[in-house]
Amino acid sequence: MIQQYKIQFMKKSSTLFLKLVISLIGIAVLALCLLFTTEVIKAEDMLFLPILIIMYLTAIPFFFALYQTTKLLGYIDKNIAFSKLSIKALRNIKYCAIIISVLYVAGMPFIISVAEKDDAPGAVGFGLIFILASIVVATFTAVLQRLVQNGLDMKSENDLTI
Amino acid sequence: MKKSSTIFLQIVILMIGVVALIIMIRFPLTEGRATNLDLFNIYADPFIIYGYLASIAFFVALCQAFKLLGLIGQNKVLSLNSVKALRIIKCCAIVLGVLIVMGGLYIKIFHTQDDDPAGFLAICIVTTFISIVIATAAAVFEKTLQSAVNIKSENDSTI
Repeated sequence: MIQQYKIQFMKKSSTLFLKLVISLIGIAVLALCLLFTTEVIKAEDMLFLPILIIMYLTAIPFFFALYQTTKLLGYIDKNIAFSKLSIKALRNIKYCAIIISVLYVAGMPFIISVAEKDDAPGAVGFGLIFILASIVVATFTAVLQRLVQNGLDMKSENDLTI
Repeated sequence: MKKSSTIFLQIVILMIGVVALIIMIRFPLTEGRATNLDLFNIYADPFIIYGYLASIAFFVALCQAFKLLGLIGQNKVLSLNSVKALRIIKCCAIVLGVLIVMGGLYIKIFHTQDDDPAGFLAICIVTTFISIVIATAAAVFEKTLQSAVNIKSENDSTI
């Protein structure tokens, strides 16, 4: 019995930690957005405005994906990781990642033009890294979604036989 | 579709490994102390060797992730092998975090007075944080996968 509680506690605490990390990431990104906004306002020439708009556009699916991830961790907490709900959350995350990568690909010309004007080749590199990272996240969640689907199929088979 | 996505992720992991390796080989050559040293002495610094030894954990974890993706591609993920791979990844992340903390503490305590290693310590903190997160995520995955494997073995035994 005590062992059971111990396992439960360990599981709870690790997902709680991951939830905290996700909220931390969210806060950090929000802070970065606000910081960048003040920088752009201070600069007065509207050179970085397109990048700012892309940033805010991508922030929406990003925060939605973070929210879905916390939901997914909640499902893992409740031991219903292999369910339709978590498949839905994973699918949402996948779509968010795809949207983010598409937005960045669409915004690449702006980023390149700004980088040329401002002589900052780092901006292009950052754009490419964001695109690559979101594609990797999309693929990873697609694989996870398929895995959860397989697990769910197996589980329902199991429930049927008993 | 499934095969191609896992192969893509495997390629990404390979790329990460290659980039990390290139940075690790290249970085000591660009440092200030490398200007008037021969090739052997550049790499013979104890701290650089410590870095290389610590990176073994990183590469083992990458290798295990590669293996895990291979198992997913072959539809053999619900097996004890993948649970074991996740456990190794978890252990590697913990070991790497501890090693980075040790390296950071060493630099913090023993750096010369007129040197300010703020950037190095910041990188240490961030990488430690990342490895803790990866360790926790691997632990959660491991537990979930273990329960799925248990269900599956039950399933197989009833049939």
